[in-house]
Amino acid sequence: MTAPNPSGSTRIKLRSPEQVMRLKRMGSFHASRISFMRCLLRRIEAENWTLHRTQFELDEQGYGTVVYRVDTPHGTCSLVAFSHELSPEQRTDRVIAERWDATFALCLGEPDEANLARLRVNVPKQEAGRCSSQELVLSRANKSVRLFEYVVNCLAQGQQPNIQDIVSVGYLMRTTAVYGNGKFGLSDLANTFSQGLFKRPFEAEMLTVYLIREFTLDLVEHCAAQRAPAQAAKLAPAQRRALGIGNATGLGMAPFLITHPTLIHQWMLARETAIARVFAVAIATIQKQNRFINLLARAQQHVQEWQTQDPRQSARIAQLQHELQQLEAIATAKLPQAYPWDELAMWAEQHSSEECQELLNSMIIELYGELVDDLADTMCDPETPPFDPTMRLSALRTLIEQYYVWALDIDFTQPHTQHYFWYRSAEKEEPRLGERWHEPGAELEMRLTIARDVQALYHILTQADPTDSVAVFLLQHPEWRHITHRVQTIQHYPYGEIRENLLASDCLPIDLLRCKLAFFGAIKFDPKSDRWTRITLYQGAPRFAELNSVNADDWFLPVFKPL
Amino acid sequence: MRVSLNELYRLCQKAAEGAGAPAGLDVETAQATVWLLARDFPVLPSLVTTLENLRPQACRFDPSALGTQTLDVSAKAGPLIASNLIGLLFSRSEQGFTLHDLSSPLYLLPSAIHCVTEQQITIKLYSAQDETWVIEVQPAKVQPAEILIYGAIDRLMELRAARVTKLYKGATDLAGLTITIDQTRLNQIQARTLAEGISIDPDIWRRLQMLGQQVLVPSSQASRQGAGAAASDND
Repeated sequence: MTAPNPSGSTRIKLRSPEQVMRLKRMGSFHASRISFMRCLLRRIEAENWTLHRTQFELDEQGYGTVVYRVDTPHGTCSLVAFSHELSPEQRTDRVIAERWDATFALCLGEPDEANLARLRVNVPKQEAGRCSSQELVLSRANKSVRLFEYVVNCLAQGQQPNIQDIVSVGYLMRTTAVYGNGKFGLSDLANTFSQGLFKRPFEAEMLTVYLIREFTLDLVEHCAAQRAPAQAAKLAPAQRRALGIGNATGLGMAPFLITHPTLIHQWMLARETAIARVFAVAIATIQKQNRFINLLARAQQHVQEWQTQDPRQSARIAQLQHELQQLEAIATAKLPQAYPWDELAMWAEQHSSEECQELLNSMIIELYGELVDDLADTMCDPETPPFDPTMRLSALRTLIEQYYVWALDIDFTQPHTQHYFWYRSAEKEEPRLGERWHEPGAELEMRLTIARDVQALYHILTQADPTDSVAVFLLQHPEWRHITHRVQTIQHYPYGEIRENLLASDCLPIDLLRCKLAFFGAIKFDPKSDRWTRITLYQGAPRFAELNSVNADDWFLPVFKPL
Repeated sequence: MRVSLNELYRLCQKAAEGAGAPAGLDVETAQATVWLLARDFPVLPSLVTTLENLRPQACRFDPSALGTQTLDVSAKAGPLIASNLIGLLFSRSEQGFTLHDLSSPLYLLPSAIHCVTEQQITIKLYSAQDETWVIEVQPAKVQPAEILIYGAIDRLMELRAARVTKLYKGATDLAGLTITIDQTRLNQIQARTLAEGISIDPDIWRRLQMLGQQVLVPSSQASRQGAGAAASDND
């Protein structure tokens, strides 16, 4: 596959889906300049969006209502935030929670009193309430109680909280869900896009989280001022930057990467195209080289500040630190003269882990915004190609042989290849992972069984008349429509298929989560098991009011200790 | 009660899956249901009844039945087989074929609209009372295809089953029928439902939910472990 390349060079090609769409590599992705959060903030700055806090009704303990209005050239939206009293016993991040420290809705326009009253009843209930098509996103968050209290106490004494203490947590609040696209009565995505404000995937959700961050900073300053009106300080810029929004992401997000193949293809293609464009740069200017060396130093410190207790991730971080030192030695000695980034990447491919390779990829595309930033507009869901009922079964077999040889090679008679089954829980309809040979329910497994289904379809096709059409075949065997459609789709969207058996005993769902979260722009992945992770969003990002300052976009790989 | 189109899609898909619809047909039936309801075609009650009574062979055809010009689909689940029937029309060299006693014939529309790229197809419906409708699905410069409907639209909305359904590649005689709804009007209705959502009878919603519960599995203790935040994960 060849990348469209503004520089005109045809030397560099896209990495193949066979190489990229592997769980271990996807689970090594890092945020980049075409992550959704970065694209959003650049858009806000370029289009001169403005933020106004139009309502601020919090009591002395910080409970009440806050409204932020965002004005854009395409219309207006508002974040409505409700801050609630919550006892420690009630505070939980689990999906069964019924109350939270704060609940939020991103709305079209600015809600009037009647709508605010309706939101005040429904938003705190979250899933148990109902939204209207005027609301685009629904969310909730809980405090990091320890850090929140610490920051309030410091500010109330007129002092700044210690940066290291802030960075060790990274957020005052963490979201436990961010809903969009029609859930609980919210605006359908097509309606959201038709309003004109948002045009990229998850843009409304990313804005919601960004505004929640603003809210948490305002809230903590308000609480401090209430505690000590005469002497309370406001957060200094460095402390504000060090505070992002936390999030806990679990299995609920995992099926998305399998059930949205055309969208995932667009995301992956954009990323691979960005990488390929930069690899095609024949000569790096001194300016770019110096910037790279600076980024390398920043990356080393960023990785050093990356804290986790997960043994697997800790080991990967330790290895990454060592590999970054090796990269630094190469870069400071002398970068290759011709096609330096491609050469560096080839070195990394031969001598370093996927974690390092993908961090390097994020770093080098960071250098060339002028070559890659336009790719932000290529990541929307394309029209799924029409189903072709006239295709001959022989052609369908050929497609499977071309795109799914990895699935045909799996021996599904071996128990470990079907160790897991994915199912929807009766309690909250959340995805769960069960052990097939030890737990009931496998007969109701979710259709994440792509490899096994493709292999079974292929076997059926070997016994069918190859001259028959897909239409005739499916009228006799309707249960194969799902996988037949998928095979036909993947020929047009090859980056949409993960080349792994998701039922296998060595499948790590955390790799799926990290891939999607990296596209969001998350950092500081802190796995708590192989099925859920803590992350931080917008840590290091400028605040809204800082977006038009010089170098506002330079918050990739944020660091908080002196270099 | 008001629901979003995505809520409707997700529940219809789960309900179809829970009722035993073949993989893929549940998705397409749900997509078709949303398409029709977004344009004010009231198909939900008949879909729910179909799903509640779904039999294993209701979506499957014997090979011997497929070579004929006339198919008896009285024992088949109309909403679920519509996409495969449209596929059959495109795959055959003949101009078209006839279906007898097709339930929920309106489900042919959304399947047709996403398949038509070059050649018009026409659906001719005859009710038990011999009322006639013609639906033309025409290729458009910007996909998807467009629809023109001829015949009494209010009675078409009430049609639960067509005694005879004829599917053609190309146009057919309009037999003195007049156009009653065109693509512009359908687009206006769709824009309204997108902005406002869809009103659903609560009893219908409850019945869909009951069907959808068939796909759920009680969480085991083992699968809950490590799956997400526990009570001790607050900081």
